[in-house]
Amino acid sequence: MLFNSFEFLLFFPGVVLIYFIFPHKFRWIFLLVASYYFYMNWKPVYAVLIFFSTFITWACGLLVEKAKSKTRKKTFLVLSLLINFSILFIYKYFNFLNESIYSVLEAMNIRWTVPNLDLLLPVGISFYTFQAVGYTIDVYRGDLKPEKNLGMYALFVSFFPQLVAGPIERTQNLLPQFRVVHYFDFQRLESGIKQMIWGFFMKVVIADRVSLIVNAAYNNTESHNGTTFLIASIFFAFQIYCDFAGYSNIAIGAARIMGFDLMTNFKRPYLATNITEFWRRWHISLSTWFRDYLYIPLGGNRVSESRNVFNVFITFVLSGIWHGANWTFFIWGFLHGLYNSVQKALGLDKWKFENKVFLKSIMILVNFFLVSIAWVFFRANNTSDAFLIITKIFTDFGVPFIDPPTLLFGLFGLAILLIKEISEEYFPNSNLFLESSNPFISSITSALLIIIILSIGVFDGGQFIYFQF
Amino acid sequence: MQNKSLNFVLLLLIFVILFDWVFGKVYSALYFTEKSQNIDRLIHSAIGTNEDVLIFGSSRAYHHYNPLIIEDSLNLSCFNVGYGGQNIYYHLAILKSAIERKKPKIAILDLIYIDYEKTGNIHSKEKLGVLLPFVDKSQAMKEAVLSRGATERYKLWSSIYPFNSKQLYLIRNNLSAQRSDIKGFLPLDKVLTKEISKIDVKRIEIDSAKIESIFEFIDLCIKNQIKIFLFVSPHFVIQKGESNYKFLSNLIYDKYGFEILNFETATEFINDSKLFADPYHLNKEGADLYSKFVGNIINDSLNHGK
Repeated sequence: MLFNSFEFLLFFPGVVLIYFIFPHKFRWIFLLVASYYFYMNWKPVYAVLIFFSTFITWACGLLVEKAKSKTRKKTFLVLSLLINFSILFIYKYFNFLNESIYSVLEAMNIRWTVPNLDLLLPVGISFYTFQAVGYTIDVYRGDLKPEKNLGMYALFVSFFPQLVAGPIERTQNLLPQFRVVHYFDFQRLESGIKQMIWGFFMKVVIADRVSLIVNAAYNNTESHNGTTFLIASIFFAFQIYCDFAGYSNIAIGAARIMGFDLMTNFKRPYLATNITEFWRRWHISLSTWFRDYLYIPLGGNRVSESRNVFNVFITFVLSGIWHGANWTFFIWGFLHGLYNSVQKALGLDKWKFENKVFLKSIMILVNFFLVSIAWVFFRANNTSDAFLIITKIFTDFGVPFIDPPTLLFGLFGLAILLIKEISEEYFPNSNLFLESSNPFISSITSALLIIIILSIGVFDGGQFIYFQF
Repeated sequence: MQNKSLNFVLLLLIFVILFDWVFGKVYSALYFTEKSQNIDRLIHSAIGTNEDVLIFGSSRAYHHYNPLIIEDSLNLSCFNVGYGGQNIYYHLAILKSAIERKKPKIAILDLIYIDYEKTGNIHSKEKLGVLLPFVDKSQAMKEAVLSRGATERYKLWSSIYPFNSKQLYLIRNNLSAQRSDIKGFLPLDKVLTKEISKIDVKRIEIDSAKIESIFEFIDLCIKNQIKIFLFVSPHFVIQKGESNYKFLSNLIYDKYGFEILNFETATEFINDSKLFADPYHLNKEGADLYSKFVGNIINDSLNHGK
């Protein structure tokens, strides 16, 4: 079920209503059923997969705790990681690896005949796999006690607001919240509604609108000139941000209404002045996951300079591959690793910008430019398309071929986004419009956002980009 | 704080309902006063037709059938209600709406593959979204829009929803647009210049729901004593193999005893590039010639009581 579907607008209030009517001790069961129903709306059979992953990580968590020796604990951890990552590999990476090996061997005149697997990628598999695997690692490290109740743990893995596109929650944050008695709270309702409205705005007014321009250009690389690609690439940077942050906002808002606090996933990433800061603001739940479960165990920055560069690269490249089995994602991750290493070498990540508004603005634009170049690889259908697009941007100037109403609607949405983000970033206590403490002003602002959504939102924009990951 | 938040929720509800109503009224007023070629034609097609002869179909209908020529041939009033990219679901809705007001005497339906081809979401009932602004004006329009999906009924609680994404057009068309069609006919002035090679006939998958809608269209005409003519107008694209229309024509013949009048490869048009604007559309010269053909055929048919 999509957040931006009418079905969800019926489903969610119904769930909230029943959730608060139910006695506390039955609520988690109801939420579990609702979450599986939510997930099974895509393809019912994939519920088996998520349950299998849930059961393995849950059982391994218990076995890790019961194991007497360090070796046995490690064995169960490895078993959990192996099974979960194998499922992920089969569904997500097998065909890619198979085709890559085939291409390499073909170039050497060797025939490779392993057929591709005709499997449809289960929605949100990377998200729930990482969340579940994180749990096992935490239990292994002794950071938390394993959950005895399989149902409760299954709810942690499948909690519907964040199931298919995050935030990738940590057990310590989310699981205990299922045991807390939540009372219906108008304050939570207010802030949840506001965050959901803003999420819907980002998704259907901005992301789905500019995607019309992005798709038209990126799916027809031969026909468009560099100017069109420049505009389309800038728009893609906002498309992916608004699509993903929009989802996170809806997820966090929905959970908040029911009494749950999910972690913040985005903090105005395009106002970052360098790549390190960008990653502190972008997809925070994934970047902190990689930090805690990969970068730091590799040694982090408490190692030699060359080893640190390696750690950074491996973390970013894996983060790129996490998104999908394609060389475009590999290059995207590699570029971020490169940016990060170069910026660290130049000491740009240590720069302070107090009262240097002009310099800070320049750095924000430079950083946005670098991130956008990397996004070209992320969005392009293949690497040759990506290189062609980048070449055209710098060499093939001309009149852009873009539908004017789509452009104007897109720019209108982006203007509202920029006003909101800049005011939140630089005037955090201004409490303007949506955040006004005056219910009259905040309700009028919220109502106008809903009217804009109804007026110019794209209702058949389809699913969120990150569902495919 | 709880009271403040309760006030927020209540005020939000009130403002959303109020703004939705106000903006919906404004959009509706702007929509029904605009004079653009597309929308003013659509408004007349959907809720304004009172002509004796109506021409249904896609862009091939509104580029190929000149109502003035057909009026001359038949001595009856005529309007071309064709709409680009639309399929049988749309034509059926327009016919039902016309019957609600004034039954036409003759219906000409220009068929194309998308009228009976399985096309997934591309040429489906989703396309009936163009009729959203008319749901309050005609029962037939409302039924057509509701057939788009189970949730459409609830979406229509919003007065703004029917005008989604139309705002810039509403403003522009109210300020400057003018109609240039000839009773719904939109002639093309270009002349086809590029070489076209023979291509294989595209094999299509039949959509049984669309076939049922074609039958419903015919049944509705018969029930309301509307003389119906099914045409396939000329293509410039020269195809190898048996026409896909043959299958549909046979189906219709078996059920109703008449065939589709297929001018897909009519010798008067085939290979004559000066009559075409592009491989699928006749230009003004070709459309006028073809409309004379159509007028004569209908005239003959009426005179001979076929």
